[in-house]
Amino acid sequence: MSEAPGSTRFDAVPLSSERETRFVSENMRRVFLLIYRIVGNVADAQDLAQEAFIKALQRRDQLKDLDKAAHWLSRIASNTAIDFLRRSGRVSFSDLEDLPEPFVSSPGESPEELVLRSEHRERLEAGLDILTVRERTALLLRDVEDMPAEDVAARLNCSKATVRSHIANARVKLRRHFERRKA
Amino acid sequence: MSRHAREIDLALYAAGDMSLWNRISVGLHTANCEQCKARVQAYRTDRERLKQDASELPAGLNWERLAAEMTANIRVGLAAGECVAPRGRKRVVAGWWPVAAVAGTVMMLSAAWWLNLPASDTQSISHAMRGLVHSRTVVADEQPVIEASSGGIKLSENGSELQVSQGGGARPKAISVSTEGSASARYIDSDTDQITITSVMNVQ
Amino acid sequence: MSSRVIGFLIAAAAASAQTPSLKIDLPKDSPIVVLSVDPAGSRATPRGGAYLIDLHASLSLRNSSQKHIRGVALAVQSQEVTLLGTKATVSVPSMNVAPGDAFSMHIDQTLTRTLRGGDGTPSVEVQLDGVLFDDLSFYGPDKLHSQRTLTVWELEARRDRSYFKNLLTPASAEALRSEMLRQVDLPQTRVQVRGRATNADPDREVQFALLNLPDSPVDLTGGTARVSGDEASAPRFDVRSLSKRPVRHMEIGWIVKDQDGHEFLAASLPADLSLAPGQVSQVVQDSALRFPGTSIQSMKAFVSAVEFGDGNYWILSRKALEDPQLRSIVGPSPEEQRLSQIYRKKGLNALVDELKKF
Repeated sequence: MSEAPGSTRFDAVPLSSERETRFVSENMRRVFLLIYRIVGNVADAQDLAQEAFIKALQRRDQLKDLDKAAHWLSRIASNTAIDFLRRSGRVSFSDLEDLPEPFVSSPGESPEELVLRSEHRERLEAGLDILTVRERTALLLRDVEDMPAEDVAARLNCSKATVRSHIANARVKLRRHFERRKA
Repeated sequence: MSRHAREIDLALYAAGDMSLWNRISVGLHTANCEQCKARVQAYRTDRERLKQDASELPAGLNWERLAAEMTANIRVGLAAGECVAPRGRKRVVAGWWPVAAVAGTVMMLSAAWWLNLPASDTQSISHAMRGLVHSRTVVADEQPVIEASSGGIKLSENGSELQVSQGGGARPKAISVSTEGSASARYIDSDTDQITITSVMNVQ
Repeated sequence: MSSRVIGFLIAAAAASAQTPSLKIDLPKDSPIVVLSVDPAGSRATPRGGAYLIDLHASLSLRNSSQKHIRGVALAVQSQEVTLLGTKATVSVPSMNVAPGDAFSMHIDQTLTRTLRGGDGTPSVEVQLDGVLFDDLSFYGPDKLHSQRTLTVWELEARRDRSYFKNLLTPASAEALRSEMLRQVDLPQTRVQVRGRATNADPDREVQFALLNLPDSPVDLTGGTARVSGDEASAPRFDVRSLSKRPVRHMEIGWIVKDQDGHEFLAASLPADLSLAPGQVSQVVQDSALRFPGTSIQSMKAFVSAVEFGDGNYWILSRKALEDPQLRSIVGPSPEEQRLSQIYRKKGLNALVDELKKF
């Protein structure tokens, strides 16, 4: 294989152990969705999820037990998403981008189930849309990732009282949103 | 406590996000107030629903394909992070598309190379990567820096420096900076009392 | 917009000095015309490892429009300044130039460039970025946001003149005198601005104490920045519109308290945003401020100016400036400084005469 002079060669490196491979595959969907709910679009969520895993794997020496890495990884993921929003200079509540992939349904789902799933998804996305970034992030970390409030506070670099306020506001806003939709 | 509990208290109570004393207090109230009890239940239901709905993928997403692509990019990114960023740089390249675009092509060519390497070589490369620790400080001198002080305005970038000050060594009456990358210095003409404001802004 | 170029060559004043060229470029329909340029004393001299460009140009200009001119902004571009991707402006606010009247502007700048790159031949070009009239209309390409800055300065000038005029009664010239004497030059802290933080692991995230002023159309509801020693970075604010009009731009004043308890206005944080009535949003920036020799203890923030979607502005009122938390921190407007200068040099009567002109 020849190289152009001065070029850099990127050599594909397999994830170096079976545990690391499992670490990525078991957490990928959860991390992707966490970041996706924070930033609001698939393309950025993909980039950032990759970045989060890279960071995590580069810091694997900080973690004694890869099998207990869920919260640690969630911290890195949410941090990565929040930093991205900062770098982009503005927070926007963007709609889903048009996806290049054709619609893919799960085998065996009835049309009614498909519609229901779509409604749930749309309801959630509309609800998350009305929250501030900090409220949304605090809510996702606490209620979806089941992270203890103290850990959420540490992640968002604020006091426990402040994070409780974010979580409470988020829940109340979401409740009111659901009630309005029902009405 | 007033006739009903505060909405935010009910929202916190539903998931146990309160101090012990407040939990007891709200718990005692909801035990005797059907309306507040119903609100708490609604918050609990919301929480379950959120967890369920949040695990749904975006509409129309081919997850298997996306996951495979991400896994491949992570592998390449680990390698690219070493090649692109010299030791001492904090950040791995944030945008993956350019790296992935190049690496995608190279991957195909290099996979065969990797597989044909003696096992000892692949292990030592992996080990070297695993042992790498990135410094956490950004190499900052490539950034332009605008500075405002009693001497005027200074702009520095990549070792070049530009100073803008009033002729005759006059000190500015006021200086200000803007986080968008500009600085201003205000001078008063001693003869005409006219105010002149000199500004320098980075437009890169 | 076609150009009318007036070029002047400046003779070398010393054998070792280069000859910088000065070019003044105004559009054909410009509301100001150049009567003369006196570049006396301008020179460009190599000094050790640096290049010193002493630019002293007095421009005599005339208002060729039908309206009073309140402010002018000129873009001064030298090869040296442009080399680093920057632009410089020279602005004169608080003007009162009637149609047909002549006025002068001085470009008095010393540019010091370290000798790296460039062909070493200094040249300076002056272009018009904008003219503000008394009806707050604006002319010019506005490439350097001079419409916004000139308009805000003019509104501050009107506010302050109105305030001082109200102090003027036969019985209370003393009130005006006291007000002039209250002005002090605020100490100037050295501040650096860069695109992002130098330290990726800041010590802590610090919340801003928020000063929400009673009549502000936008409230700050939250704000943090990452702080490490003398550097603060990545500011982010939650904002809420209290106005019935959409907001398209706002300025946030950033106050820092150092280890000695000294508070100062560190920077202004401008934000373009699209804020509908009653809407909430966030302002997030990736920039960093550094205060060499200072340790940041705490920070405050306040909304200092707002531009509405209809092109109108809100600025701090005099009453807001009297707030104890702002009084000794937010410096006087250019107009207030100009009036104070007149008072100090020429006395109360001259000040009163000046106020009566508007």
